[in-house]
Amino acid sequence: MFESLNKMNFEIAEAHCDGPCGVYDPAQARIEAESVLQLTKKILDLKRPEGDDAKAHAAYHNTLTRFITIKEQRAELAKHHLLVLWTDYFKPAHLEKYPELHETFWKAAKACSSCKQEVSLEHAEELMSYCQKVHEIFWETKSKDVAYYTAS
Amino acid sequence: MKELPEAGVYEIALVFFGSRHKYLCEGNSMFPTLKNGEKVLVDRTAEIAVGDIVVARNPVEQTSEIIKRIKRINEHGHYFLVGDNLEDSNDSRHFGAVTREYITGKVVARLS
Repeated sequence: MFESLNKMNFEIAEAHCDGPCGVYDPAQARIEAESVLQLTKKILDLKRPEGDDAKAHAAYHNTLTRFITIKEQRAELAKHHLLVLWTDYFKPAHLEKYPELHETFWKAAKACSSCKQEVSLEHAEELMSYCQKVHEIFWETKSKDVAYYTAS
Repeated sequence: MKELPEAGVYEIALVFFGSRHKYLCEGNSMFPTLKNGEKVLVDRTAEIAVGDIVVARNPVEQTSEIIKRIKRINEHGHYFLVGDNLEDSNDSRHFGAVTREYITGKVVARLS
């Protein structure tokens, strides 16, 4: 009888030690990913000044550097928020229901890195699509009907 | 602190009749009473009192359940749940006392 009992599924009672606030929302990652997308567009659209006007060149480099810096920071933040959801919110039971969960987060985190390394509209849009996927899975686990939206 | 008995044949038989529910304890907040990975049996109809170990819905993440000990019942009849491992437990000291509806059942035995 003991043996057959051990073969049965056990429910989980958590005795975890960390102090999570329990407030999670994939919107955090989506907002940062949106910034990455917009900055990528701005970098690609930025016109290099013609001629030798030192002031114009200084202004161009200043703006370009700011765009790149912010893109770098926002991509890192997007990755951070995605990893928090992945490692802190999602549980093994979610993985059973959404077997694509690990791969979605893994690819999303990779897309964040690509957005830092490159000036790539394709990867920025890819990151947004993963954020949408995470949004859909997340709110389904919460049994809440929350429509996906973007701020820009 | 109340001891938690080992499950006997009678308790285990009750699992098959649906009167006891099997839980796996994940984490160390009930250490040393319950270790990470230890299995317990829960009675969902038992009377509960101060000192009992219970399984409850997690008030901060309601899709999951937690395992704690009832430390006291306050003036509103709400249950203050605390882990035995005071240094390492997220419990009513953080999220406050919970109402009776949060408590799923009483842990009545451990499985060896």
